[in-house]
Amino acid sequence: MSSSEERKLILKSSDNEEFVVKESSAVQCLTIKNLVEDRCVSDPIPLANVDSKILALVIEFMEKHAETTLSNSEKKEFDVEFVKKPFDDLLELILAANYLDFRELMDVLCNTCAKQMENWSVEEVREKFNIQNDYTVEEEKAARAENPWAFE
Amino acid sequence: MLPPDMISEILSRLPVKTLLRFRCVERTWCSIIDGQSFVQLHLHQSMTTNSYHSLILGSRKGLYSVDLDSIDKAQLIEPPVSSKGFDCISNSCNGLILVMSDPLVPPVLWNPFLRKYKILPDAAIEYPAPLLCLSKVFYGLGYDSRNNDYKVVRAVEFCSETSRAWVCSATEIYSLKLNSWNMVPVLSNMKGNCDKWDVHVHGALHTLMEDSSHVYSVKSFIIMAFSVENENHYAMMLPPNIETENVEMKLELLRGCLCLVCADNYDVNNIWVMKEYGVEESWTQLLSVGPPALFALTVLGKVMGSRQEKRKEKKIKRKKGFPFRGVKFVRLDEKKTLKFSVTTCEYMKSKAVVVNGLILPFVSEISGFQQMVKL
Repeated sequence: MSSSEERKLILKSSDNEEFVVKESSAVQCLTIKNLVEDRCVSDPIPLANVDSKILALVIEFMEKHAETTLSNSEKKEFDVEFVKKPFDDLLELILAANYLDFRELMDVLCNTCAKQMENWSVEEVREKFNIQNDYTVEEEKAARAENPWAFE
Repeated sequence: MLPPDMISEILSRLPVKTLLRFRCVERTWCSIIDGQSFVQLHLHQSMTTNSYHSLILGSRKGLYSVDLDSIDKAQLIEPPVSSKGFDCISNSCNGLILVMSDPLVPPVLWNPFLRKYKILPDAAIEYPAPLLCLSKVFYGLGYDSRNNDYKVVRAVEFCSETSRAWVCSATEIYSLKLNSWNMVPVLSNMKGNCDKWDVHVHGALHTLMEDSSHVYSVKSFIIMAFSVENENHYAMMLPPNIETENVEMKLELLRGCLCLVCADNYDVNNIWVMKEYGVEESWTQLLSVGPPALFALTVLGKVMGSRQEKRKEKKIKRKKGFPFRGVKFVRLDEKKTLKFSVTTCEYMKSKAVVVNGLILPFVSEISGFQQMVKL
């Protein structure tokens, strides 16, 4: 095991499940890359903010995108299928991608969410994001009245 | 559930109309959307992702917007201040444009997607001497990135009342931040050769100009640029040894690079791109498009003037080394139909969009992308 391609890392999710990944794939996550470069790699690397379900998905994406034999359009096809998930999962993946500083995954996820949200009503947004409306009735009315054409 | 940073990341990829609606979701979302740093983030996304870009066409009959993603219809858009008869629009800059009418009436700075506008303060044109008349007034819109300020450049030319010969020029700049106009020294060879600022790129306005320092019979042209940040003029050369006699030329913007479109007598369009800004050696011939001549060229950039279609489309020759798949060309035919052609390999595929009431010639055509800056 001499070349870095073969070096493996162990990632541990918040619920204590361990995943073995190639170092060359894992360094797409800048958080992990920094640990490797600073030689602060513990064995395994604990990822306190990512549970096993989400980590498994991140690893799936990470490994696909690290494959040098795949063309860009093949990776795009994979992305299209990858994002076909419930909205909640996409949001959780965004949190994980941010924590791991995985730019590529972040972009794909945010673009997907934005595309889905484009024509949503205010109520739909609140429901999907689990947001409590903190406007008073008058305040909300006033806010809507500022740009009425946006609600057509 | 999601922290504000993540919300911003997602929201920055949404069109302006959706964002205005989502201000009503809750207070935090409203303050994110209204925030100054979000305006920058959103603009950056808009510029880099090539989505939600539109073509804005200006003509005497009105202003139209065509969504460049779907290219299915042209929507009439309300000009900002409907009581004034606006008949002219400037170059676009980060999705903002100037709408002008009578030179004696102050222009209006407009964000068409946000539907917000600002009437610029009056700046009466001062005649520097008696017996002069105004021969030209034209405007350009630019962005000073160092000061995060949008600036309007007004160029005024005076000629003698009797001989109609050019006498002098004056340039003034309006700063949105300071909300005031200032005079700027002007180059002496800009005498009667400019009509309009065409392209805003690299913090400067550009236009084609006849180089009147040339005393010989062969006409030569240069690109006159005005840096909005440094408030000074400078010149750039066109591609060397190109034919300029009987050739219609137009400056465009192609993927952030200055682009020169030349249409010759045979209706062949040659497109040159200055790959590295300011480096004359970097002028590269991009492609050569056979008859019919292109009317309009846009790559989510600017659009040039119009001509009529004569024959069916023919093969185009493409030079290597510059990524331009997906270049869109726009032209208008006799039936006032906008035809959008997208290049793929060697052939162009067309899609037609009917625009009723659009009259030739276009007063000005620009394309803009959406952004949130309030004026």
